[in-house]
Amino acid sequence: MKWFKDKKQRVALIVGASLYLCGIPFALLFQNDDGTAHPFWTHLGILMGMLGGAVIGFAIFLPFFNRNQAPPGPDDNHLKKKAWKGFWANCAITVGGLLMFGFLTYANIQGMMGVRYLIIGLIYAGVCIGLIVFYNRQSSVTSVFDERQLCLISKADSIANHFFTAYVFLALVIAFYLVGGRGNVPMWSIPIVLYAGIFLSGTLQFSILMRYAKEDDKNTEGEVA
Amino acid sequence: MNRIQKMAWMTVICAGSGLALSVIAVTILYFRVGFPRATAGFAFMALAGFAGLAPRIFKKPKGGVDTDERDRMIQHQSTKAGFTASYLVFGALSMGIWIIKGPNNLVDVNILPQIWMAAFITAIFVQSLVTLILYGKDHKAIEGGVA
Repeated sequence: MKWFKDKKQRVALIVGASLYLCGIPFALLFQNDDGTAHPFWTHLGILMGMLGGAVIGFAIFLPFFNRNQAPPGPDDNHLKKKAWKGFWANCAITVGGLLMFGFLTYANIQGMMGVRYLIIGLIYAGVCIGLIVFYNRQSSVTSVFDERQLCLISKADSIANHFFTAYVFLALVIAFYLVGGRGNVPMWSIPIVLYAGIFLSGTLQFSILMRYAKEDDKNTEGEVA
Repeated sequence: MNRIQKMAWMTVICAGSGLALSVIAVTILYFRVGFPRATAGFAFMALAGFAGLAPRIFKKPKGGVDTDERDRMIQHQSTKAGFTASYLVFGALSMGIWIIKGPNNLVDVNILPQIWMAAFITAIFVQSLVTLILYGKDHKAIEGGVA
């Protein structure tokens, strides 16, 4: 345990190991009378094992993301960098999610139980990476943004979130208008609406931040020496 | 306790009691009549609508300062937490239904507003809960601080 110096890292390691070790008995011991796997306890054990593995991965890889990076320069446009980072992350989530969704739709996963666990494993990995990034940000001592930039970022976040809410409500109204109150909608339309909403709200946030970042560039260029 | 805390408490109590009663009702009805009729128990979630009366009940004091920087920061952080939780609920419900039903099936159109309402109620509930947590138990100052 001496390699894991951070307290949260140790807690995550213990929790992950506990989940993993508890999941194995669930998967192996609780079986039906005829020796086949129990539909609930076996799957619960597998999910616990996967979650435990993901938490252990979080504990192990956390220090690699916490390494000190080169300090930002005084002339760097931090708002522009943040806008582009957010845009690329948004594209990765949307494109990656849609590709996975399209693959699973056409691969007919009804009989492929292993693919379902692969999906769940990818979701766990994504959540752990998100937690690592979040924890890394919270533990940083100084912020590269000034008060005006923080205010702009929070406004852009707020506008994007409200846009997503309004977009989903609009999609709902359109669905009722097209199908009627007693109709059915195809199953594939719900993830399409979700990913399209995430992409549009992320693009709106990017546009707002880039607009103010360009103003920062103009102000920097126009400064009197 | 300031006005924002009082409104947050009312929201938490209304939404929380609605959720608790809904879960109890759905559980009892499930053992009596089974699904899908047991989903009628979710009607208790209408209690969360009483939280909308909070601004009317706890009115703004006339004159003086409404909020200071700390109040606005807490409101911003709690709103962010509420939206984050609603994104998670919306994504989990959307993809969960897709995984359970399968990609080639049809789903009743009435499921869509239920997904939206679940995300919306989660957003306001988490926002109020985070507001109360951030203010903490020892916050006894009036809104806007001491002049």
